[in-house]
Amino acid sequence: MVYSLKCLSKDKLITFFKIQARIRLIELYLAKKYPEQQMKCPMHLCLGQESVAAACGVISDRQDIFMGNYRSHGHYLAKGGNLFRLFAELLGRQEGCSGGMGGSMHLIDLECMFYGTSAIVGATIPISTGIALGAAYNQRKQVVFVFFGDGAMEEGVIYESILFAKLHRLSIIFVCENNQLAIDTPLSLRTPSSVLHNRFRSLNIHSHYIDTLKIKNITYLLKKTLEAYHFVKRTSQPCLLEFKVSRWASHVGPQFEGPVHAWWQNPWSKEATNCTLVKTVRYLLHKNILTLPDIKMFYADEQKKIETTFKQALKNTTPPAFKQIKHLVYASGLESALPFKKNILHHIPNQKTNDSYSTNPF
Amino acid sequence: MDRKITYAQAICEATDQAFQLDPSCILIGQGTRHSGHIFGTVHGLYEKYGPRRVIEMPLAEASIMGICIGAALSGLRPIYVLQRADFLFLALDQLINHAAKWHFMFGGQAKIPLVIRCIIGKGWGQGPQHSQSLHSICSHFPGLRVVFPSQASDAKGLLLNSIFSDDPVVFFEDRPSHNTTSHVSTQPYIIPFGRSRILHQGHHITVVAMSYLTHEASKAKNILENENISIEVLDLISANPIDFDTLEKSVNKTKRLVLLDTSWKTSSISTTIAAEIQKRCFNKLKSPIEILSLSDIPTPTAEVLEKEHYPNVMDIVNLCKRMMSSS
Repeated sequence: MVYSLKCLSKDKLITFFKIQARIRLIELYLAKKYPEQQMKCPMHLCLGQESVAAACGVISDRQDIFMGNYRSHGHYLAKGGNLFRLFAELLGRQEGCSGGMGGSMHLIDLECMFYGTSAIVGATIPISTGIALGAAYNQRKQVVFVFFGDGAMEEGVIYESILFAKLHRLSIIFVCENNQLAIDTPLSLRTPSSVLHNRFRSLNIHSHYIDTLKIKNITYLLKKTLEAYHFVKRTSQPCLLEFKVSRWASHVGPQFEGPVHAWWQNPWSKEATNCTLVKTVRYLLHKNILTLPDIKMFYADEQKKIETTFKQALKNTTPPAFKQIKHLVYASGLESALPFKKNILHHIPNQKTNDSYSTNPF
Repeated sequence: MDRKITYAQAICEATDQAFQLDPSCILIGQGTRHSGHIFGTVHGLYEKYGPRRVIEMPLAEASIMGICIGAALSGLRPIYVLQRADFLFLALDQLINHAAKWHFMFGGQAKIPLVIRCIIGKGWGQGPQHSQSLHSICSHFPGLRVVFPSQASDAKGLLLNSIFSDDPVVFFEDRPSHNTTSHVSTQPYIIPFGRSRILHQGHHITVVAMSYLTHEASKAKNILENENISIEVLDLISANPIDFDTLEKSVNKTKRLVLLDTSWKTSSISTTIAAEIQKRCFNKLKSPIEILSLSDIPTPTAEVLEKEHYPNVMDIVNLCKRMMSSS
């Protein structure tokens, strides 16, 4: 496919807005409900960072694969992850996306190709590289997106994985959401340079830097993501995208600050200039793609859906039973089945005393 | 049909047969294309299957473990070879935090069929960082299967069982075992996890050994027979799960237990076995359970020191004699 900005249709722009707004509303709702202590798991909200997940969600295809990290409600939702199952998971219920076994930090939805997340910084980087290896091995035309933060850029596995992906020409996009914070430690205390994407220049890694806080035209963010996507598709080479973002939420927990409410009340508010969602709304209004009443109505409808879904997740679900979870430790039994069994002799040597062993000259 | 082949050849044959049986099997390791071919255990595989299935790895042990996990998640059955088990430490985050827990923490939705072959060096000055047996450490974590076969025939069946298991398996081999031989069927076959093997029957002392120490224990048996001491030699084979039932049965018969461990005693699989067997056989035991292992120092390099560091036949013989004379 030849790279074309025409791929950014009005529909895509509207979807981009909707995914962002929906993630924002869900995260705000979770922040509100969290102190009620029904969701008993560490929760890392992505308030302020929604645009990255939304951009990747909107430009990727259904068969493409996402892998996230411990701050991945947004990535899960942007890939099409089921909201009821997300809520049920946060509530620790069997009906949750991970059967109630993962909580906020371990989300999965294989039906929509969301392959999982990890609580260990940077750990999904090599795993997703391996998924891209598997896709290449079976000649599946999938692009893998792996999301991580600036902290993961300090881990050794990022270098190892990018080297491997480049060597084996894997279709993977390494997406760094640089919010300049590791818990609360600023980037300046951790690394000598504030720009991260060019670290792998000697490996000839195609990379882009997108400052979502400074860009005026929101379509630039989408165009750069799309460009990277088509580059990976065209060349079967990995690519690294660095998005400078602002995290409004505390590292973990429901506290947040930032221009979160301004966007729908007053899209022209000066406080909200750093907000990609507000920038998206302004663009849609400016180009007459949506009207303010459209946007308000979308917000109200979504809010209602979120509340109803949460109530259902609270009411129509059950926690897993401790007795049953021991069966989850292993996927298979002690004895494996050889494939194409009928063609071969299925022979287990005698497990009792065997004379041939006692004569071994050891 | 059976014929005598070496342990290394048995490993190679199992891999070759798995590759033929299932096109999703791949192997990744260091030195897959060199004349030594990882001590003969992957000999000819690259020439037969090419770079797509026999992947030469960059020296990135941590990420390669993660890459193998990802490959397994996308439907492949990777075999990851570490020429020295000591390098496993570099990859423990991916092995313990991820491979061992993935199936559990996602409610059984994703599985990781992965084999990590770890080769343990012994002798010729391997020294502190090329000689460690990590079977006890690995057996500590739920979610991993851990095996440590000593016989070529067990190695083949267990490797095939490991490759076609849907769980991550840590497969330990030590260098002294690679050159030993036994009768091995030419056909592919599997041996289930969690089974120990009675190598030699006896009635005075149960000696549970693992890996190269089973060979030492077999030699000790012959010497002890001249002293009218009959030992039953058990090959542990599986470190997770442990075949306590076979051990219990044997100890109930002999009423004495000696555990031989290729690693250190502190917080080891041997102390775990001792705890369980003293519970199960408390009233039958005629003497305290003894553990013969490395002394609590890192492996020294000089030949004279190595010789004293590793338990040998005479150590086993003397321990058994002492046990018999005091009970």
